[in-house]
Amino acid sequence: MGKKVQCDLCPTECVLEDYQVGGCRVRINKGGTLYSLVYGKPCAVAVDPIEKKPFFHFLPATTAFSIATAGCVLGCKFCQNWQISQADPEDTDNLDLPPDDVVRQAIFYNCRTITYTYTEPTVFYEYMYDTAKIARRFNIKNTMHTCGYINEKPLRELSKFMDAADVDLKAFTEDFYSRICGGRLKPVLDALVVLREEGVWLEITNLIISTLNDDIKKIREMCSWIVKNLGPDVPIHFSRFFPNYKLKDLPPTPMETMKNARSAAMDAGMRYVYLGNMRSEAENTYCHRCKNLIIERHGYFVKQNNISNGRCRFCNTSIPGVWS
Amino acid sequence: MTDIRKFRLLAILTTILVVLILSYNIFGEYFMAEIGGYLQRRIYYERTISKKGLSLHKGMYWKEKE
Amino acid sequence: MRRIRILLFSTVIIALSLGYFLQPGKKIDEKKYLGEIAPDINFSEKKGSPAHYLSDSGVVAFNTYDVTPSITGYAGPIKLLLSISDKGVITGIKILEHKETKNYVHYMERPEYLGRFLGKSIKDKFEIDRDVDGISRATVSVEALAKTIRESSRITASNVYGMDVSSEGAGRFEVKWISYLLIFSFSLVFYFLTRRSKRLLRARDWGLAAGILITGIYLSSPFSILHVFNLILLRPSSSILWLVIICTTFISLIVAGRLYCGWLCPFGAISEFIGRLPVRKWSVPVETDDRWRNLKYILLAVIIAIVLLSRRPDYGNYETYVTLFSFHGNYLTWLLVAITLIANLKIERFWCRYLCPVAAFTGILSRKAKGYPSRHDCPMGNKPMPMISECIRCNRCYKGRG
Repeated sequence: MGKKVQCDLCPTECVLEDYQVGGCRVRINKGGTLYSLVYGKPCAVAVDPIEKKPFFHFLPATTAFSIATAGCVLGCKFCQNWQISQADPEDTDNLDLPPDDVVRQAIFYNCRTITYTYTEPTVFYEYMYDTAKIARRFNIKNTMHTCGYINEKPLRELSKFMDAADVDLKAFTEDFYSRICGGRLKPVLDALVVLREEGVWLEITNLIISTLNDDIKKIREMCSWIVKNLGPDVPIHFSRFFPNYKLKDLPPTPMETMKNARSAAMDAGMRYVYLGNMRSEAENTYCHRCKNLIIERHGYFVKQNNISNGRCRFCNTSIPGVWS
Repeated sequence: MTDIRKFRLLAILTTILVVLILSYNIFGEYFMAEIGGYLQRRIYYERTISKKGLSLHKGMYWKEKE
Repeated sequence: MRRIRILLFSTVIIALSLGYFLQPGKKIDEKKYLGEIAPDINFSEKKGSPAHYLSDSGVVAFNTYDVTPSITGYAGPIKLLLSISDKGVITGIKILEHKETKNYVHYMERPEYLGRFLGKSIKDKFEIDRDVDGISRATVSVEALAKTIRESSRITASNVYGMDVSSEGAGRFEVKWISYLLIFSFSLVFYFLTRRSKRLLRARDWGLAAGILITGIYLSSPFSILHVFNLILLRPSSSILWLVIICTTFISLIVAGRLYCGWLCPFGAISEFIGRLPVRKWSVPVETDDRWRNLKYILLAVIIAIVLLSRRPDYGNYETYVTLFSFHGNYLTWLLVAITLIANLKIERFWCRYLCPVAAFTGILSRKAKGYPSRHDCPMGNKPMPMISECIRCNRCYKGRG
């Protein structure tokens, strides 16, 4: 029997016996060597508006070539993509798409970015890393939507090629992370700080679930932490919860809660606060200085854009984000 | 076969069985967890995972234990 | 016989003392944690079977590993220190040791989570995501945790408080030990009566049949060598039935040798009934037979060594009646049951003669007795003038005074 192996990619740090697959479902110890089972084997490939990721301050109205493999480092009970994130790679329908083909396809479909998304890109780290490296040579940007549950070393290495990251900050309590997600909060906060330090453009998504993480005090605390550690320019997307996966018995989050969260975040000093999974004027971007409407959105579609050269057309203030 | 040979055979067989039972009592916990778990994983790998045409791409960020 | 006695006795002493020195190495300091889960209660020393700590207030504490060592999670047993009240309510809980993946179960170990078990009744169902909270990605571990708590506390409560929680545990506890006492008294009385009058010998068959039904099927607790081990390890059970079985067996051993084997043992009864079927028996020379009969003493010595060294009575269990009547075993033990039952067709009381550790135990403790010369229909197939350790006192051949 081969030796035991410890995976150091994510903070779970599974110790794997020979032929044991990690908690992420896609990394296996075979004969004392750790292999990725999903390198070049995505189970989801699509061309999406970048706003769907969601990135609101990153090349608006462009498309992103989006890929995902099976597996996830967490096991959130509310997962929207649990059919693939909580599936073994041998049970999903996988394509054969090596890194250079991903880039080729992205160019073919005229995508400005490649996004590693849907499930948790950390689990297909090698695939993402190699693809990102090639994409950069062809002037295609790399973005990921991650839960931020990744160790510092691999994250710093990845950051060299990552242009933007949307991090799911699922709640601001260890209890929530432990019970609902099967992880811990601390490593996620650490990852956010690392991404900021490495100069990766950051947006944060926070799904608000009634009774579980809708405590306005905690939301306020979270926003203050973000402002203090990441700065007020980080856009935050509060996302409305709809019953899913193992949390089918909870109601959709009330509009009231969503609006309260938004004002709490604004009060804490955050400049760009969006509400997702619902229609409202909180989908639009307003200049933090002159308060004029600078990007009007309807769902994932941009209706007007008043940013030129990264500045507000009304007051010429530089708007944080990546605009070209 | 004479009665005495049949008897010897039976007696030896049951003795071996008792010894097996005792060793299973003592080592079963470890044995089953180690070998049984390994076989289970190995069989699953050979039968299911390896047939699926997944990659075996050497992973980054891991270390050998012990 | 003398040599065998010396061998067994020295095995006990050596294994007992060696085991004592081998054990304490990795012992968890349960006493320290007792103070944590129940700070205001004074507990007694650990005792009983399964082992537990008693207190004046009626609260009982125990290490779940002593009670249900076989319930395992992802990687081995989850050892907990639990305390329960005499009302069957969990009052304290602490995880002592486990080998689950740390990063999955870190939440399970936290007081916020474990605290939710406090105040739960041991009669609750302990079902994940119903009355026990599941933890994402730690399902197997949490299930093992819930099962450990449920099973160990129910077993302890039934032993200590006589509380009956299991759905299938029919009958009250008084009924149980009284019925065993009745069947024992019946045997003892008729043992002495049949020594006087051969006409009453038929009563032994009735007693044996009743033994199968009551001791075997209803009580499912025939006398087992594990009883003796628990006694040697100072882990007596506080169940009255357990005490009754132990005491009656020892009393009978003093007054009537292997009376238990001949009159009470349900497995012996089944074996004997099978042996009476009209099938030609193998003829085995006396010397061969004698030699193999010593096997049971060797086996007894082996399991004494195993159990007393490891302090784990369940390691030494290969007894067929335990498998058969508790209806609990693996392929190997069931195979042994099948073989030893079928073998009776060709050799009377095959199990009793060659393998049974209780036979070995009661055999070496049988005092000399006159008047048992054996005869052609001896249920043990004993040779003429056998050793008394091979006699199960059926009284068929008894030629005494009166």
